[in-house]
Amino acid sequence: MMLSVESLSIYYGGIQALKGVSLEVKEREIVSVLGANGAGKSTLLMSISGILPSRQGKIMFDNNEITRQSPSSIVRLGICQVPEGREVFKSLTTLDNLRMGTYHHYRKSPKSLVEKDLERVYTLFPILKQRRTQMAGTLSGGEQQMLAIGRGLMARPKLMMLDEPSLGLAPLVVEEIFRTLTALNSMGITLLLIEQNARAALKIATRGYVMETGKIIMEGRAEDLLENEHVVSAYLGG
Amino acid sequence: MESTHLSQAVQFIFAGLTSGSIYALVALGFNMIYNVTLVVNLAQGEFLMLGAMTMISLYSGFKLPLPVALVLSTLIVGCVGILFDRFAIRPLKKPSIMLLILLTLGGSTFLKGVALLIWGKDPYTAPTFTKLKSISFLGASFSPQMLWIIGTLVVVSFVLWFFFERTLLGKAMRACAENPRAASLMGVNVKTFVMISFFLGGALGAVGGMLMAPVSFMVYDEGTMMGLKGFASAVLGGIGSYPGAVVGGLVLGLLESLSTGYVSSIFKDILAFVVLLLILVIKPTGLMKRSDE
Repeated sequence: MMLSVESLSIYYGGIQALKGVSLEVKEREIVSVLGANGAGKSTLLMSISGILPSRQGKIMFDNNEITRQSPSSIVRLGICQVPEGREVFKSLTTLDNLRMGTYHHYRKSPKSLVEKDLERVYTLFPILKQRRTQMAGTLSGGEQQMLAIGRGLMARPKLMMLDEPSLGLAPLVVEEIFRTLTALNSMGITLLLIEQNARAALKIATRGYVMETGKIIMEGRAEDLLENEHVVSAYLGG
Repeated sequence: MESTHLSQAVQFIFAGLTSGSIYALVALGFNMIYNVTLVVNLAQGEFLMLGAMTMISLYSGFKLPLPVALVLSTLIVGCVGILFDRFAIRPLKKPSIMLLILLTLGGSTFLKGVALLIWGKDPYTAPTFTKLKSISFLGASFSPQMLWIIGTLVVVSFVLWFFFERTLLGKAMRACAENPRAASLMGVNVKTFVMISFFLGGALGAVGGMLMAPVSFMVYDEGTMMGLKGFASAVLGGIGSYPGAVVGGLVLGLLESLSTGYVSSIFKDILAFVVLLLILVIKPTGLMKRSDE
């Protein structure tokens, strides 16, 4: 098991945002978490990343307990989050944003290897190469999302967690983002994906979880969830 | 007649650049802390006073060689900055802008009180860094300390530019300032950078104070006015902008010196506040900052 979350509870401003959430991600999987706004999906990712400290529960990654570790040591272990709303560094250039992804390993990494990582990002998103000297704040929403994913990739994650990567993007761009996610997965990166666009997410996913008001109410193989009555009526607009 | 006019003007300009350089250093310290933490540190002037006083004590009291006294004072005041963050700012559970401003104001009074206990009410001064006699230029004459002051500002500006534009560490610090959460997700330890920013804020203040000590008298409460003028410079240039801090400081220094020279010295200390109010009314983003930033 690559990532396992055991009965995690989080209190957020006096409210219990997560109520004993358990979830598992195996190596090389794409696991998708579905749920409405406010179900606690982003809270879940933020607590795995160590940004929101958990009161109860246990998070294991690659046989290390990371429940109370700092965000920086969690990144070093190989978990990188691409946060909701891209959160690129608007006042830095595209290239500098990508370099920020290397922050936790750049002192130890040979330059040629970092250059190779950079080429990998440019191959996935050729537009970023064209935009490399531009301030990230001047990029379009789709380009910023590609940059956020590229920046995450520069951190050399084993597990990449993406929070709503398709939010607010044009359908063509969304398609490109999902194609890239499949490509990342075939490079050997495990993905934990949170998506409003449940259909697209389940199509590329191996397994899925459904969250409602801070709890996991359902889990299963992606193709089963796609046919599940509750999922269809609540999340697939059927 | 012509030449005395010229030499007088040169004299005023260089005097303005000299005090302006000190204001610029204080303003740089302001921005250093503001950019990473959004704290407007009203104790910045006290860092300047502490730098000067510590240096004078180490040099004249403990008879340490001047370079050692300079470096040691910079480090000591930098550490005071760290302690200030650790024991005054960080314990706040729910920091609000107002609370933080009151807190730094309290910190400033506290540091003044400590300085009063250590050094008393007497004014102190330090010898100039080099033993040269005064320098003549176009009929005007200057203390060699002026070269140290302006030169230091040039070097500090270059080092800061290099750090923030050319190193990943500097860019990480900018990233922290812009979006601390996203920076932590990249593995940046934001608390460390907050600590570094307070260290550098203290150190920059100390450098300003040490440079100033040989050309003026330093008293335990000298920092307050310098802090306010540095703050006015930072706002004039655009709070948070490093080039703005340098330009703001130099402009304020020149305005003060020219108005004192050609009009009257009674305006000198009022001027900073007039400039502060005017810029806040006319262009609150400052001279050097684009309004879209």
